[in-house]
Amino acid sequence: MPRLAREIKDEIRGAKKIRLSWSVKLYGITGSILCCWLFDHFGRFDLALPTLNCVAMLGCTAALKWKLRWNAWFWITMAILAALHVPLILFVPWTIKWVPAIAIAAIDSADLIVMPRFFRLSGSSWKDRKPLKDEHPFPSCAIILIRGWRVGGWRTLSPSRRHCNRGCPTLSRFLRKGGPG
Amino acid sequence: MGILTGEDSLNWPLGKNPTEILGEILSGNLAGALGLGSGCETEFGMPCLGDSIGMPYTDAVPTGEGTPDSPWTFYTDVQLPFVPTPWYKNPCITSALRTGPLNIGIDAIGLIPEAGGIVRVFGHQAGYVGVVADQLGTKVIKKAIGGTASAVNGDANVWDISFDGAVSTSLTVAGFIPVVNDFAAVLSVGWNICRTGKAVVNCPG
Repeated sequence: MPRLAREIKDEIRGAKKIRLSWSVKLYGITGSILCCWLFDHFGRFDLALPTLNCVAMLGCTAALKWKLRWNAWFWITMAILAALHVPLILFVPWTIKWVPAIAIAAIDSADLIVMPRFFRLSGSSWKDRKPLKDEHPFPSCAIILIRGWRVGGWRTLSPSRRHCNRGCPTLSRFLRKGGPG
Repeated sequence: MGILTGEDSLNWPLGKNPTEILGEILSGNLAGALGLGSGCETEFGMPCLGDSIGMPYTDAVPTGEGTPDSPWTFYTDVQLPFVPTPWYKNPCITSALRTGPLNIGIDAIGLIPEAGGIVRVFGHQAGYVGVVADQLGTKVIKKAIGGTASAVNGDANVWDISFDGAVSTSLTVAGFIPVVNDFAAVLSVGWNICRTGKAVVNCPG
């Protein structure tokens, strides 16, 4: 079996493990009603369902690839994927007529199959690794590094915060050299 | 709308030339006769044109020949005060309330967990129990909702990159990944509730 097929199967297997509880479903319905009302308020009710589905599938993709969250490239790829969905939402003439949820699920599934491929393109050299003790994932790590650097420079960072080196090596190297100033 | 005839309702002088009648109406209050004023009454008790609720509007051109067999007939419209239609008799609202919950109900089927629920019921009908019942029920539902035969055997098909294969794969994954089904159902139900509410609110009356 080709490697790509094996990867897709692994991802589908991983996705099958994600379950939504009834409370989450009820919160989801309430939230989607509020979002739809908001879209209607701004006169773009047609964009409500595609936008919500795109956000949901981006969330699913992030959940599938969550083990890569320590890498800056994970977040950059997520941002790129989100940006790619914007024209898809804006320029496709979506209908406001009823479409069965199963048909929408098929489109969502296609989206969910395609999106993880971008991680393969952008981060083929990534290796899944376990986080070190006190290591923070990329976004919080970046905030810690920048905050620490602004307060007193690189040397004031505590040893545990220096673990952020691993999460954001480029940012860490940049700040070591003196930052933007 | 009401129809008033000269003979029955207004005791209109039969045999009078309609042109004379019209002239008399107009001489009474021209502005009112044109519908510009607040209304008036001619010497014959004939109402002028009215532009407000309850003010009758009489067509100036009668029908008939002014004879006992064929009297002049003046048609009069009266704009009645607005009486709102009850919501349950408003066809727009009833139509929206008929289709909306139906769509919501169909979408809500996706909220039922695959393991157990309706899927297992189908399996039990065939005499199976447990996981086997779930698997059989899933197949039955997939066939019922139009899934292709290849979609049922989707695991062997996930790396088919042709168009048909992609469609089949999508349908397969849609059916097999519970979370995608859940998300699609949850969002569709919310969207349909909002859409139904919007349709009801936008109904006239």
